Amino acid sequence: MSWHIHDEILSAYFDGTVGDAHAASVEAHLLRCAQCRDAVAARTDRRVHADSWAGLLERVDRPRITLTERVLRAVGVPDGLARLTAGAPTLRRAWLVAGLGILGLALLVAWLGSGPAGTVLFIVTAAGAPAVGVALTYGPRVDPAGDLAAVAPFSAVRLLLLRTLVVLCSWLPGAALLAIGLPQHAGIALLWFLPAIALCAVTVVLSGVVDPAKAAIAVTGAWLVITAPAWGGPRYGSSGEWLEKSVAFRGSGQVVLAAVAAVALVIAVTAAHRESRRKS
Amino acid sequence: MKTLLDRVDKRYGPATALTDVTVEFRPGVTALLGPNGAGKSTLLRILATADRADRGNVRVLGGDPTDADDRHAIRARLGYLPQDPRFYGWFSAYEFVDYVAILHQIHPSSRRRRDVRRVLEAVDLTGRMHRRMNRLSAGEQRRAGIAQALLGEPHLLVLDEPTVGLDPVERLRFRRVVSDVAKEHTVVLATHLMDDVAGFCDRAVVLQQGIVVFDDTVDALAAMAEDRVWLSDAPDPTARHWWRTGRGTYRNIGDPPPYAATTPPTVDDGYLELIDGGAFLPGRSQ
Repeated sequence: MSWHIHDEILSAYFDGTVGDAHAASVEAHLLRCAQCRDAVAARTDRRVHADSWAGLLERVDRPRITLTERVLRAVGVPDGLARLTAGAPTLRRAWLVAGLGILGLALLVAWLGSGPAGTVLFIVTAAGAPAVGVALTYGPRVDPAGDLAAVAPFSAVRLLLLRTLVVLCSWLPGAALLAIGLPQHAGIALLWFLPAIALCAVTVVLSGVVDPAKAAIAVTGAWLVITAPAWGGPRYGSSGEWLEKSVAFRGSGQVVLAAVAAVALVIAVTAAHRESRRKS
Repeated sequence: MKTLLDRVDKRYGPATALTDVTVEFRPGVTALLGPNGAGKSTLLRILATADRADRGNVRVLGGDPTDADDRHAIRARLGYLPQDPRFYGWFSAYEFVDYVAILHQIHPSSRRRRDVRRVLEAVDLTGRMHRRMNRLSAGEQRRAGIAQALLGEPHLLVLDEPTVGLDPVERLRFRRVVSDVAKEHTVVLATHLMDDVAGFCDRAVVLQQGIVVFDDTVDALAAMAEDRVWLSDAPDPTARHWWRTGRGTYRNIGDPPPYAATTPPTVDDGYLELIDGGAFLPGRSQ
């Protein structure tokens, strides 16, 4: 190489004051000239270089962000928590499609002349399905990474609570939209709302003691027993009269379910908080 | 920081997995050997706090896994690779390891990502770390599994058949990585590959039908077949086990006939003699 970059041009290049054409010329020359590359290396601040490299890796390595994670981050959930929460999207999607499919079927039944039966099926299903969804988002049996999550220091209750929140957020709007289509007034069509939250909350609490799948089976089983009277008896009357036969759909029952939901949530949040405060 | 099982029993329904198991794990690499169904994975799951003993005393890194605070402290210093780890197939290798790093509460995110890159480099997976897990080969998935176990510089590394599916170069790399950890910390790995045992393990614990039948150095395991291995040009009918070697001779294990010249035993020979040769008598090594 017969010529080398002048010191003043190199200084301007480092300061960022050299023009675009000169900068391109300098960089083209550096590709071919080892002596000038050495001169550049001698002037380079290694810390700046290391920081730049780390920043580049950070940008390249940053994982893809799903829609659920974007929503969670938008409402202030830290990126790590958002990733853990959205960790089981396939399972949740399968459950969501199946659950909303059953509700759609119930809606169809309600409109095709079996009104009360369809309505009761809809309300019982809409209340019980989220608990099944919760069980499908956590635990070694259903979560592909469940074995690893089970032995990690991250609070299991906290993880389950976060995923329950996502289950409810994805289930409630869909079920509520379908409920609008029921041939009943809103007071009856939304009777599933409080039970759904109560059943989810109790599932989370029981999951601290037994496998989430077993907890969900126990909770939905109990729900079917409690609501069984709504199916029994003479097959006449309005859906409101059918539902009245089960204590779960009377005013007092709804108040009790609201209280159960509140107590269970307090227990779960307290447990999650306590686990999260543990120091290694 | 002791890690030990003392008179531990474990059952799954009517099946007995472990019976009266007493074993202490120290810094270094301990190989856990035994036939399929001998209880190796159960023992490792108990060490990894994934399962509880039905009876007996368990201490992991000095803590009691049944105590919530101790369990949390153990898990913060534990690396675990299950026998059949499953993954989110739509995650890339990087995302999968990053996910486990979040579970390990490695903060802040810049430190977490550095650690993720470090462990992926350790298993030579950085070149394919942005590929989806379900598009990686079985060996590469295994390496991703090993990588997640190395996160956070664990004090106890519990690995269930970690080298299955790894090619010889990757197995060598794995040995180097694990040996580094074992300089100061405890590594327990279950394996059926005697090359691994002879290659870099300090100690061998052999389980059979849920009972510890051997607990000593790797050399001592090989010595179980001392004076009981000989070579011949044809299969020897007096041998308990024999196989044709790559050199065309036959390697025999058993009671050598008077005319046979015995040869130094390998770890393979010692293991076979222990498991199938009648050297195991319940309680003998207890």
